[in-house]
Amino acid sequence: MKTVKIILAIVVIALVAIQFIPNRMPSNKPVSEQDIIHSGQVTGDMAKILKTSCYDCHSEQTEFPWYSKMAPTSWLLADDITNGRKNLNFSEWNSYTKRKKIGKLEAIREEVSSGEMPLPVYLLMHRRSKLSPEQVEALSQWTDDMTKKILE
Amino acid sequence: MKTIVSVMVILFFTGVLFIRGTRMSRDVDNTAEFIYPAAVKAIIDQKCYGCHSIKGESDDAKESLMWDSIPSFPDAKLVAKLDDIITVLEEGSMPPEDVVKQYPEIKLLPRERKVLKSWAEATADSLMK
Repeated sequence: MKTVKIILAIVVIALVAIQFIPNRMPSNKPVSEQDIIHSGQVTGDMAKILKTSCYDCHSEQTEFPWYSKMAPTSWLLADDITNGRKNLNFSEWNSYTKRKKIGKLEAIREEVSSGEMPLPVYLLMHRRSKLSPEQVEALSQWTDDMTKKILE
Repeated sequence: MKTIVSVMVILFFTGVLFIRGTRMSRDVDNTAEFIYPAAVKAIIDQKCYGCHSIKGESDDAKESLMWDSIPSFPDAKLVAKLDDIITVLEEGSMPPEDVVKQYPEIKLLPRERKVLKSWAEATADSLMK
């Protein structure tokens, strides 16, 4: 019984202590003119899908959940959001070259069709961000259409 | 008799001309196909082909890029793949460090990197006219 108490105390102390370790949580920025939705290139259902299933990591308009404010979950989120924005940032879409856009669209199609995106760990706490087979199909069709427009 | 032979000879040569004609126009079509310039091909063969071809051992490498399948890609996929290649060349992440340690001869020289990058950029640009 005593050992249990000691272990619990250590866990609590550790949890408190790690809160003081600084993390590099990316911050949000004002909605940019370069944003793919704000600039009117994507509207309706497709805009809704991007907002709901992609924007938390792939834009500068992240909706930070309560557990993003505490370690150790904040570390995981800081990492995922930083990498997400680095690889694809819908808030900077218009600043990408045509070539980069086509590259990103192809990657979106591959990642979403293979079920690698949205990240399964993200879906654990974001059930409504899970893409239905119809939404995956719609996204895939959307990437094709966008690419065709750019190639024209 | 002589006339018949002459007509046949003329017809024969005219026919030959037509055959040559079709062959030639086919040759013209072929030049529109995707071909690696010799300088680019030489670098790919020496520095990339060991992993990014049918003889590669890493499934990861083969899944990411197969130089031999690129020519058959539709335009959109081709541009996307060229963009990947350019990104990797800019990052300097290929060939991977650990592989270069094992096979120092595959290290990509700055001049070679530039040749590959210029080629990839020009090829992608030509598809987006």
